Amino acid sequence: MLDVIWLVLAAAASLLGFACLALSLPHHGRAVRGAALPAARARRLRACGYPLLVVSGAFSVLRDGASFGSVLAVMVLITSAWAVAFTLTWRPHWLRPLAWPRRASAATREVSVASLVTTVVCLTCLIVGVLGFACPMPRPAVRPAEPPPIVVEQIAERASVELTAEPAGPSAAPEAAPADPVRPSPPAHVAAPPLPALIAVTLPGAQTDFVLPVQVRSHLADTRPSSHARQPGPVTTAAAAPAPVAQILTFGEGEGKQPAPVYPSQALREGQEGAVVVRFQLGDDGRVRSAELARPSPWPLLNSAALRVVRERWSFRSGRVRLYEVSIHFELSK
Amino acid sequence: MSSPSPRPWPRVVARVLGALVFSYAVSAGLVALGAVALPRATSLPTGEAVVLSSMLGFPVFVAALLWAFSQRTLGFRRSMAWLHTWSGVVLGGVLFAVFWMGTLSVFDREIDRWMMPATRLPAPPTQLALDTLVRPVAERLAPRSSQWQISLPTERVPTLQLRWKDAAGDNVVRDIDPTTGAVLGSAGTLGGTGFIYPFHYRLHLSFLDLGSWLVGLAAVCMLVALVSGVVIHRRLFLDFFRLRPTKRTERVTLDLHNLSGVVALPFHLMVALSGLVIMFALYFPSGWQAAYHGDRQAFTADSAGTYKRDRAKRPGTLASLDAMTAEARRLWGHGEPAQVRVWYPKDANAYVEVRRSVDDRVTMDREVIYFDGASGSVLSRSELGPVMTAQRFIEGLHMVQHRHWTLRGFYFVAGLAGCVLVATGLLFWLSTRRAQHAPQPLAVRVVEALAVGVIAGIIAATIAFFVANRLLPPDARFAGFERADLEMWVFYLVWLSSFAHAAWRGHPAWAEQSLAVAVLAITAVLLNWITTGHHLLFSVRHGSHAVAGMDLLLLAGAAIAWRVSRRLRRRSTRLATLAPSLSAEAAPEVDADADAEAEHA
Repeated sequence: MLDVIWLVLAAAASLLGFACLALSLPHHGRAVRGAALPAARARRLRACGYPLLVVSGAFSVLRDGASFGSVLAVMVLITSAWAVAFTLTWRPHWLRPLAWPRRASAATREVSVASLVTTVVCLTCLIVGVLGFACPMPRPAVRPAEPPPIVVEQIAERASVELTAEPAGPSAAPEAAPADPVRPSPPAHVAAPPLPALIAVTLPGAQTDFVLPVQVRSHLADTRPSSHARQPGPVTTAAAAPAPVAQILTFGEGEGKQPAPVYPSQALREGQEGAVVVRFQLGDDGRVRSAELARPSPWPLLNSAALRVVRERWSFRSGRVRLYEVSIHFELSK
Repeated sequence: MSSPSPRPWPRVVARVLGALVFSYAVSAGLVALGAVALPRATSLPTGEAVVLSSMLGFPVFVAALLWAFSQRTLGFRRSMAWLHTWSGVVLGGVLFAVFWMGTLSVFDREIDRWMMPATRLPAPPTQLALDTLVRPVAERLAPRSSQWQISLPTERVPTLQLRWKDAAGDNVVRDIDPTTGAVLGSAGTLGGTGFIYPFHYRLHLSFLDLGSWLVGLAAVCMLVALVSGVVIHRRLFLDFFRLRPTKRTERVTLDLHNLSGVVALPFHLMVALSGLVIMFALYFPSGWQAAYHGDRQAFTADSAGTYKRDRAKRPGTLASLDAMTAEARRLWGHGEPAQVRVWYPKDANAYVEVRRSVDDRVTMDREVIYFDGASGSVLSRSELGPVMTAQRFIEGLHMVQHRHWTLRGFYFVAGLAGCVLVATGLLFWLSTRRAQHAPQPLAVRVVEALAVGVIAGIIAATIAFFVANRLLPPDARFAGFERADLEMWVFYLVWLSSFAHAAWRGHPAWAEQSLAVAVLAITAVLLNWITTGHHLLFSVRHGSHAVAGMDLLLLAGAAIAWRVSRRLRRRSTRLATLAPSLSAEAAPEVDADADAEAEHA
């Protein structure tokens, strides 16, 4: 249903946009209202027409996502341009309302219907579009369902248990060179007096060269997964697949975009530090499909900041489905 | 229209051939150079470099052609006008056929359902047991074949399709009912996917790939005509929406030509260029030949990640196919298998390809997982680099094989507009010829007969093909030809006879063949009703949208063709009474060039 609404909106916006553009042309103006529109009104109509075409494209993209949506946008624009051309040929009077008033007197400040309607439509379209971008609707046919988010309170509970069991994260690994070009610089808006430094740490563990993608269904209580790569063996059923194995990723190195998390300001004030090990799964499109805490730090704020950045901002090369583990160290520079 | 002064034909032909050879040599040389040099200069893998340079070869080729044809003495615009005319006219017939068949190919599977009534089945079950349902059938039907392949049922194709090579090396296709496992009888037709779609890209001329080369040349002509058309169109934006049916015929023809060409310019550019890019390995063999020393298989293995291994020549057993598809589903995360192909089914080195469906994305990446036949473990997974992914994206743009009915509908409409573009271009050229060559009725007659056959004839032949499909008995055989071949012969004979009819009747052939199209289309709908019992209401009520849609389109086509024939007849009678005065008027020769015409307006 939503698909139909988006499509209708896209078609309406582009029809209206092309109608405005056509009316601004002298010969079509003559055909519709008997005389060409004055130059100023024609300009205004054009100023309404082009944004409407953009809005129509935006609706198409909203409907189908970037790749299908952009193709759809072009096809909607093409067909509606034809529809406008045929209307101008056989039913030009249908477009007359757009050119009202017929004769604008110099004394009254003219408000033409076209300008009014297109401005209102443009604005509503833009608002709807912005809203649509801000809270995109789930499209079950195209995208898989998002995994349920991990509740931060739960993590806090877990984290306190972990704190007693294992007081410090593995911080024995060497510090990354400060001039490492791959490493993202700390975000500019955290300009609090003690400048936070983010340090990439490699977790000690056997490297796996070829990892078969796996489903993530492990719990927070899972400790380090077994580090041997999965041997290709006879496939019986999907259920009999061996335990998931994650590839260790060094923060800031290797493929993909890995922007640094923002150091939470409260954590900054309270001097919270620690390592958060996040395990996340990449879809074949390179987006992070799910992320969870493999080994949380004692501080819920840091945990959620690390999770959030991985879930929302990290992206990788598209390819096969992969499972990674990364250790993010929050450390205050002294 | 052509050059300002009549030129000696041999010189023109030599020049055209010279320009073609020069442009192709330049672009093919650059492709080869790029394929060899790019991997050395950059970190691009060889396979990717070959694909990249081959894809870039097409714009280079078109640019070189445009450069070779632009003459300083004539002025850029006038030389482009000349080029526009002749690039459209010389292969206009091929171009129309390609556009027509391509437009129909958008719904090739639906045409299949209409032409193969046995496969009009309800929606397939979601869970299929390949091991119990398909394997016994495949082992029974193709016991000696080196490979067999199953296409899983989809929304558009409700049957399981089993393909294998028979003893003679020919491809055989059989449909299997996915609910019962019953093997349906031979379809006895090539249908949309077997006749119309291959016609679109190789004209059924497989000798030396001649058909594909001709289609490629037509696509290049299309690109050249589009670019030069934009150059010579003086009122591109002013006349963007203009269609004036009340003016004289040439004006309307030209308006339609501009409207269908300019508005859908992105679509036309896309289909022509992507059509070439799909077949880059055929059109620019220089790339992979230079980089892989002529080893095509090594190139595809490298660029597309195909996996191959030889027989062990020891008997072996095949593990569960269902387990493999389940494993493939799990590895993909989301996405469904579309095809399962078993290589060397009874050998110890048997292996199984499971190919992912492209329903849910534009890129036709055809992701494949290779399983070891004996153990069912993963052998290899195809992985595409960014350039190859881009190529497959372009391929997907051209083919619209996704689950996206809206887009398919739009493509159909835009494809019809492409047909209108080519046809009106030819007609406009023809009408100016008629004015110029009034004293040479024979030349006009020949050219007109060609145009009638190329435009109206192929439409009539296509619909006659549908009619023959419903008329021929299931076990029809004639002079050693199978039923499917007979249908094809009907198509070609009707097409040929439309040329003959046009040559005999002259101008009235347009109206008569339009009428023939209308009659044939209605006959096809009626025959579908009579032979299968599926009339329009039945199809709509039982949800067989493919059949209903096909019937509706045939009816709509009949209505349009009937109107066209009536209008043409009315006008020709009117023209006949006006003929003496008209021929007197036509004496001052009008160079009704596309751009000169636009200036008049």
